[in-house]
Amino acid sequence: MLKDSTSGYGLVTIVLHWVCAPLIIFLFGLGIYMRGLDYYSPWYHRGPDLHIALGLLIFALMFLRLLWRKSNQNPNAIPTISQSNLWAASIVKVFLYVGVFIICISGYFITTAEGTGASFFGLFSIPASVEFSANNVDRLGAIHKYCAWGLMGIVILHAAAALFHHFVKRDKTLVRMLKPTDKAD
Amino acid sequence: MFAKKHLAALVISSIGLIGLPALADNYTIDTKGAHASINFSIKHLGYSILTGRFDTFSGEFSYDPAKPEASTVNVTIDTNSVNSNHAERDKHLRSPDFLNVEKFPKATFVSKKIVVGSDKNEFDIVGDLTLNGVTKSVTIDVDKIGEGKDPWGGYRAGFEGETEIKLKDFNIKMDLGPASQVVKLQLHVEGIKK
Repeated sequence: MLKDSTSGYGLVTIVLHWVCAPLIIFLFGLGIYMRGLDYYSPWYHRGPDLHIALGLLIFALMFLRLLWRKSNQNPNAIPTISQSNLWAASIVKVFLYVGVFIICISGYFITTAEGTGASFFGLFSIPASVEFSANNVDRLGAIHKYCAWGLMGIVILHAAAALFHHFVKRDKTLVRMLKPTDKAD
Repeated sequence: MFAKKHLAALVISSIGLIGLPALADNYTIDTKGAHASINFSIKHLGYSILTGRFDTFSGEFSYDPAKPEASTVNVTIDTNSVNSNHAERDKHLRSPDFLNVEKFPKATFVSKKIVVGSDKNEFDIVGDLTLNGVTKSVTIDVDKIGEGKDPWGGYRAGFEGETEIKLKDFNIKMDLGPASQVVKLQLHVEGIKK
């Protein structure tokens, strides 16, 4: 139930997937919203604080997902899906992971560029590791922004493909990510 | 080479002795030794004062203590070097909401006129400040701090100056509230005679 098997995904993978997905999309929206705020808005500081804390959370969860994925069996491919589609799906997944990590790491570097740690809801703080010059902070900002937009493009592809498989091709692609496999191994 | 220089100096000083008016000395602002700083301060919400500075700039001035009204000064500031000791705020200050440093990487001040009061050590420098692509005349209230030989064979003169600018005047878009429309610039300058 908990672990992935050759027949499908386990509960841990499924829960992690469905926690991360809305968090990542929410954080994208929050990022855009908070940049346009008026100085006197109550969210002027709350927005960035939440953005940073949830960014740290996403990094931890995505790291966990990567470890869990590597330490579990991968489900077998659904036989009706062509090899080229499988390849496309894996490339999209690689982009999703790499994109999220680049965004998390660049965000962390921006926040800590002058030596102040990145705070997780005031409970603890991840200390700064590298200090960056003004030019490099602005470059990191551009990377953070464009990767986030790029990631949303990839997310749309990923979600559209899942819906296509569910409603048009009527295979188990989406169901596998919703219902844990029965076979425990 | 050396002899030539000395000869030139001799000729020039002799001309001075003959009766031409003494020329003002030229100074380079000592940014290398960091004996100069360009600081700014603005009210935060009307409750306190926030300060910051520009870390990188260069400039020079000419100054004759006998004739301060003939002095000139020009300074170029690297706007990218704005520093308020807070990474995210500094990033915001560099953005188009404030200084727009990508489009306007330099701010400059060029003096136009010096108005000397009854005390020759206090004067107003009127000049053009270009910031965020906007050029406006500003008046800097200057006090001379001192001048003289330094212990390492050079000659130095130092001043402090203060002026105020309105953010709106320089097309700075971000509105920080009614108490924070004006920025004070505090300048500390030491020049080394060339």
